[in-house]
Amino acid sequence: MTAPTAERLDTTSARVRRKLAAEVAPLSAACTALVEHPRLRELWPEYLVLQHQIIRATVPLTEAALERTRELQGDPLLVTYLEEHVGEELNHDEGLLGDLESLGLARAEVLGRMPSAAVAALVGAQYYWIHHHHPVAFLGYVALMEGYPPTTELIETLAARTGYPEESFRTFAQHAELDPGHRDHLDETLDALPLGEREEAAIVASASATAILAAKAVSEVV
Amino acid sequence: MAREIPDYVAQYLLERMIANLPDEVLDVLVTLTPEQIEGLERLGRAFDEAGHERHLITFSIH
Repeated sequence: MTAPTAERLDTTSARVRRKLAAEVAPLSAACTALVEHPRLRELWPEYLVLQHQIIRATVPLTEAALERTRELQGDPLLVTYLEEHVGEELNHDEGLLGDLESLGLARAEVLGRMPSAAVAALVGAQYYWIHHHHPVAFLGYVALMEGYPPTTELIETLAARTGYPEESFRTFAQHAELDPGHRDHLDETLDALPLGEREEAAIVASASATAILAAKAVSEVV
Repeated sequence: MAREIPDYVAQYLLERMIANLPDEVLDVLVTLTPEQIEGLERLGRAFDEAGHERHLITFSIH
């Protein structure tokens, strides 16, 4: 049975989502500017390189959070979620390299580019909080990153505006299909974890910082 | 430092319900003449009448 509305709105996941909704405007502006940009065809590969630089850190970040949670003898539910999350995210960076190859960007070229300070700040903040505060903060990063999956309509728009072949959008199509389920998995975990005020505040702060830093990283491409 | 905002600019901001403008944008707005502000108002009304709403897109992959 569905919980009464007030009850559903007073959960950790609902509070995190509300905070994200209030903080996501700069990321929305950056994404919109990219999609509507008159030189989208030229910018799209650059955006995918940026996404690869971020995504290549997802599994290592999750493993770092997992290891730290075990060290701290953290909640078994968090351990289980992080173990499963590694499985959910495995090889996504490889898929993106394949998409880039179909656009003519060789793997070595993509891997050889130095990520921007914005990317380092976005991912690096998570390493800092995992190692020097609490690994539960990483859930805020996941909340933003999996909270806004691309839609089929968006992928069709991108293909039409760039003129790039369907196979160059494989990773986007995969996330359009998988991420809504991953988002639900995270929300269920957030609501099931016995979080105190400090832990929830860490998740919210992490989500908020992720929204701001992701916007900065994307806006540098546009 | 407090900025002097002409009445017609303040009225425009009020009518369009525009708040939290970046300083750089406000710096430009306060230099516009009443006629130029009237042009902006006409443009805004035309967008309203056309039912145009800017559609923001947000996406992220992980």
